[in-house]
Amino acid sequence: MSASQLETLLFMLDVAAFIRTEDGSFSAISKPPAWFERLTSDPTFPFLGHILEEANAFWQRGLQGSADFGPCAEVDDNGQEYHYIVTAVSARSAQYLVFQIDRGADRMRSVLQKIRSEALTAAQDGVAYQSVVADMRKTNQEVKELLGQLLLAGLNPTQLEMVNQLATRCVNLMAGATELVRATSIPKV
Amino acid sequence: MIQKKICLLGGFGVGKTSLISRYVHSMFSDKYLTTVGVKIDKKSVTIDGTEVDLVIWDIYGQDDYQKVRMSYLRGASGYLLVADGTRRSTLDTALALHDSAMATVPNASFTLVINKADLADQWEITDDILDVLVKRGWRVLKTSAKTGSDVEDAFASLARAMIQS
Repeated sequence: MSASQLETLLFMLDVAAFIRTEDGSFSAISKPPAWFERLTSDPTFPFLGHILEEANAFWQRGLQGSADFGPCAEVDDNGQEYHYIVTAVSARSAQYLVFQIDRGADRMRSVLQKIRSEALTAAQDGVAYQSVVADMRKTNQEVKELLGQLLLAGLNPTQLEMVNQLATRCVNLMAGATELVRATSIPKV
Repeated sequence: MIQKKICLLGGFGVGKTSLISRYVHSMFSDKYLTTVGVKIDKKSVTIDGTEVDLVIWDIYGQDDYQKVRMSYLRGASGYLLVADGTRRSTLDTALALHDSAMATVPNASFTLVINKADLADQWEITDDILDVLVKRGWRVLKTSAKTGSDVEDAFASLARAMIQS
């Protein structure tokens, strides 16, 4: 493959690739894609420091192969977030630094977003349910006290049976409410 | 100009990204958007007359699906441990992350931030729990990325501690 073919290929793949020169600086193998230009709009390259540290650690080990770093998130001009991976490559005696879009991160994000959003909603619902149950417990206690006063007032057997049934209903109601909170709680993520 | 790296660590959904968004861009959104990987922002501040470039690393939240790689902390001068006041479990996650961070950057300064102060009536993390940490010498702040309450203080107090250490 000729140098120009390689350059075209890398550009079409949305890949920014650099070769490390002897003085430690980097020389672009191809014209970097547009998304990469955004990264370098801040001339201090705040994202690069740590990545280079990681890459240097890999290169210094002297192994042939590659090591990935990331994904890193950036926001494009439309406010859309995208992710990229940086790969340090050591091949023969040359060292490369390659930046490429991580499309897998978008899929992962979509899955995590769903799971975590549901967990957060469940946690918020749990707080709301517990508040409702606390109110119900208070009302239940007030009903019990009223029933106690009725008992003290003297009741005929039919009325007494009705009071007992009311007390049982209160107990069942509270058991149902407690079970509802338990059943709607999603395990912690 | 001094440059200092700060990382934000915590469970998912505690408001790390929102705190940075509030601090750096003075913006807040109620919509939860999970972070994958790391996002780097920068803010220049003056702390007690010293100009500092804060390079702020927003690291994905930890849960059963994603464990935070401590290599992200390398070179960090400090970190904010973030928990969500309405979820007790997020404090446990923050404390566990602190233990791991101590092994990677033992000399880094840190501040514990309990976020979502605007929902204080729903908090599960009580002052009693926080008092124990304060007595250990921890800096603990209650913030709200939504209202902006104490967000500046959280970053400024950490930056001050980093400069002084």
